[in-house]
Amino acid sequence: MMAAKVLKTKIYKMAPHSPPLNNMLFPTQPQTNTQSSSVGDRLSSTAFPAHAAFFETDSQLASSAHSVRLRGTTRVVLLCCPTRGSSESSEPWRKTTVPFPAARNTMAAALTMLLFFLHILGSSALESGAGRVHPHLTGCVSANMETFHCRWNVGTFHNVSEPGDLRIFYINIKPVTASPENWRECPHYSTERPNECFFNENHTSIWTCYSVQLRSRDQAVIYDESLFSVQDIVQPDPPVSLNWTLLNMSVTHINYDVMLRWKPPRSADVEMGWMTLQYEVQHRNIGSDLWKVLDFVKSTHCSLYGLETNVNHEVRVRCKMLGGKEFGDFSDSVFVYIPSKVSRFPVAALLIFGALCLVAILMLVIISQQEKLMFMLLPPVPGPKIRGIDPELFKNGKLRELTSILGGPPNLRPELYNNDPWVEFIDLDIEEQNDRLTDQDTDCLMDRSHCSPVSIGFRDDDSGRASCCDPDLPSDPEASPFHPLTPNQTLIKESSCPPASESSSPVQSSTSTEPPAVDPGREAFYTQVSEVKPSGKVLLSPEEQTEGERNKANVMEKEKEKKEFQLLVVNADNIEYTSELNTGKICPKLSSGDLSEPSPKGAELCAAPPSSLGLNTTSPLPPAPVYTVVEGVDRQNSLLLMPNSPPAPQLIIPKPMPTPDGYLTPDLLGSITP
Amino acid sequence: MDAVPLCTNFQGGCHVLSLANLFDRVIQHSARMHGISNDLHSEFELYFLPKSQIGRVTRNCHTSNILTPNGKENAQRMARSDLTEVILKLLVAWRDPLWHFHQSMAHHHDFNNFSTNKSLEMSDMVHELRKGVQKVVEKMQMLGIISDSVSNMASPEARLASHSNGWRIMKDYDLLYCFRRDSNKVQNYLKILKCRIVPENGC
Repeated sequence: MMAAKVLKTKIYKMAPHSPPLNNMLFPTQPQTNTQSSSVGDRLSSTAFPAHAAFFETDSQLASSAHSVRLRGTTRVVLLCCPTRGSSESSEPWRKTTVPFPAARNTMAAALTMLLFFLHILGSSALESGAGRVHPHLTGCVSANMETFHCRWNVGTFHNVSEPGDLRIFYINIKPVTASPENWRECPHYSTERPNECFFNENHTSIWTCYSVQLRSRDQAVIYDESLFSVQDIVQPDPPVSLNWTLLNMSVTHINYDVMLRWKPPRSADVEMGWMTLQYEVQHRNIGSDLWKVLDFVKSTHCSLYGLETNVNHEVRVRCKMLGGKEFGDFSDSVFVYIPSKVSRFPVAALLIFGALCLVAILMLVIISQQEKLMFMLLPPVPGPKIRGIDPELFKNGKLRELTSILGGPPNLRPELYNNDPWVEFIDLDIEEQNDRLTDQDTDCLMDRSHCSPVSIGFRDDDSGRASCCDPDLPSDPEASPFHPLTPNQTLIKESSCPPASESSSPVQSSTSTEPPAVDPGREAFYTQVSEVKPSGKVLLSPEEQTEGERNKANVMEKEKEKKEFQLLVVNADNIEYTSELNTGKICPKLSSGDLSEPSPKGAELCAAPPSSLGLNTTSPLPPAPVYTVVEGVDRQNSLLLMPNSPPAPQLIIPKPMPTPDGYLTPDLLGSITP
Repeated sequence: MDAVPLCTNFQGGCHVLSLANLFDRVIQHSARMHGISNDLHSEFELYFLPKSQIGRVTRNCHTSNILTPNGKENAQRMARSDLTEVILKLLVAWRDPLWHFHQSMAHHHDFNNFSTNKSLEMSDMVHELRKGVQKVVEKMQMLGIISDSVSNMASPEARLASHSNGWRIMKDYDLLYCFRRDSNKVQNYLKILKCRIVPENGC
């Protein structure tokens, strides 16, 4: 095969500052050549610029003239071309170098455009014009490695369209045989299709070299040639009988797996193993152009995983001989389609319904537990909300009324807040009772409604009450300041021995005065001491009781004794009289060891009773306490007390008999010797 | 297949492999050998071969003088012992060339380790396959399937082929091409032989 010759190179345009170049002409030598080789000539111009990278253009030569744009090049190398039709082109590429003078174009002068006209004559004399395609072999293929066929294409020539104008000759080179081989014509021109030569088993020998030539009728011209060995040109037929079965379906009916099976092509002898095939499966969605390729399999089945429902899939298979180079054709496509049966609409509706139910339940919970939720979400405002006091008083600034109200007992205040759980009340610890006992005292002394005796003393400590309005625990009798005091009874004046010494003086003063009138209906506040045990424990009894009740109360009290009262016996040694009742003073919070510390008044008070007490603890409880009614309050805010006429038996106080402990009526004042 | 204990005296109750099993083994072995030779040839063609050598017609393999059936029918018509001999000749003829090829490849810096390992494996496989086929031949001779005249060493052709130095002047690419072709022959001949001696469905 002759190489194309560069005929003429003409520099079309040069950069302005480069030296002018002469046209370069190359001698043209058209050469007639019996061997057709111009078909498929490819022009490859390889430019070697001095500075830049490799630049290569490939273009199919359609005409003999070709213009190439080269930039900044110094040299053009023209490579030409073996034939295209043969599978093993034997001729190398021929190089023709076209140098042109060094144009000192640097990269900075980038816009150097050179157009070359390269006139290349085809080496074939038959190519008188441009655009002619030679008859050529399209390929020799064996499907089963026992037979093969060669096909050709007539090209665009007009005078070879008739059958018989082109002939196939082959030669089979068997190196062992010493006999010279001759070119033989095609054993069988195919009748099913034109332009095909079929070699059956008798004319096929594997592992030997074949040379097949496409010649003209008169064998004058060889259009194409091909060299091969049969085992190298094996392209198996496509697999047949594709079918698919469903393997499993996902729970959501969105994806599924499929097992694809096929059979090897019938032409291939796979059973004996003459041909060992490997298969390649491809699949795609109908809509897309991209085929998904799976790995090779040697078996005739393959699993496809993760196919989507409601999508039409197309699957095809092709095979290749193990160790072969090329695949055969694809099989007929098989379509896989599974409609999704479960519609998603109920699922969405179920979800919405479930959400609505949840919301409804939540609302119900919120509404039913509104109060608790309010308490949790809006915690009580620790504002100045005192039970029984209108907050307007705070705002209006009526401190006088406020203090009067505050002076009253907590339970007697008007119920402004009806047990609202989210209103938290402030505990009041009132220490200075003198400051607060003003108008309220007057009202109370005048025996008006909603009035309680003067609070002798509010207890000053925090004993764990939630608010000051909580009723005092009976186990702490000292906390209730409103004990009814009977003159002829053994009463322990707990208030006379307060824990704090500071309130002892007011206590003293109050003891010297008449006890305030007591509303007999308020039995919760008034308790009389019914008995004082030798151990020092005090039994309190309710206020108004009959004797039988008192007995019961006694019993009850005794039962409750341990729970309720735990008063310390203080200074028992000071008791002068040994009586059943130990009237040792009861000064809670003052231990016996601490007696040295209390105020002298308290001690005096405490000490006083033993000397003056003539106890009659075994006597039954007095029927009723003796109260002095306050007649009025004079201008100096002193109490005017009525001389009371208590029932005779009650008031009979034998002279030697001591007065109730610390409780002296004005009548008794005179009887008491200082 | 069941595990075969090493039998020094198989009459002492060892489990002996059947001929079909032996054939399967050697066929698998030859298939693997052909695969490796194919890979090596492709790699060589892809990376090392200048384009000028592709498509060269004349390839004189050093085993060309061994008469081999060149088709399926020819092989099927051939006598079993002849076919067996051909196989053995081919295997013997390639032992030395492949070993030397591996040596040259190991010194060649262009080849990577992967290819060098493959060439070593290939040469080992030829050796192993020959021994395997030898075992099959012995078994067949014991069973009386083929005559006792088949012997790989005694044949003059085999000796000629193995001692011919024609392979020394072959270029690497040609050597690979030739071995690829010959390994394909060996594989197919063994399959045909098995089909004829221990016929199964499909033969």
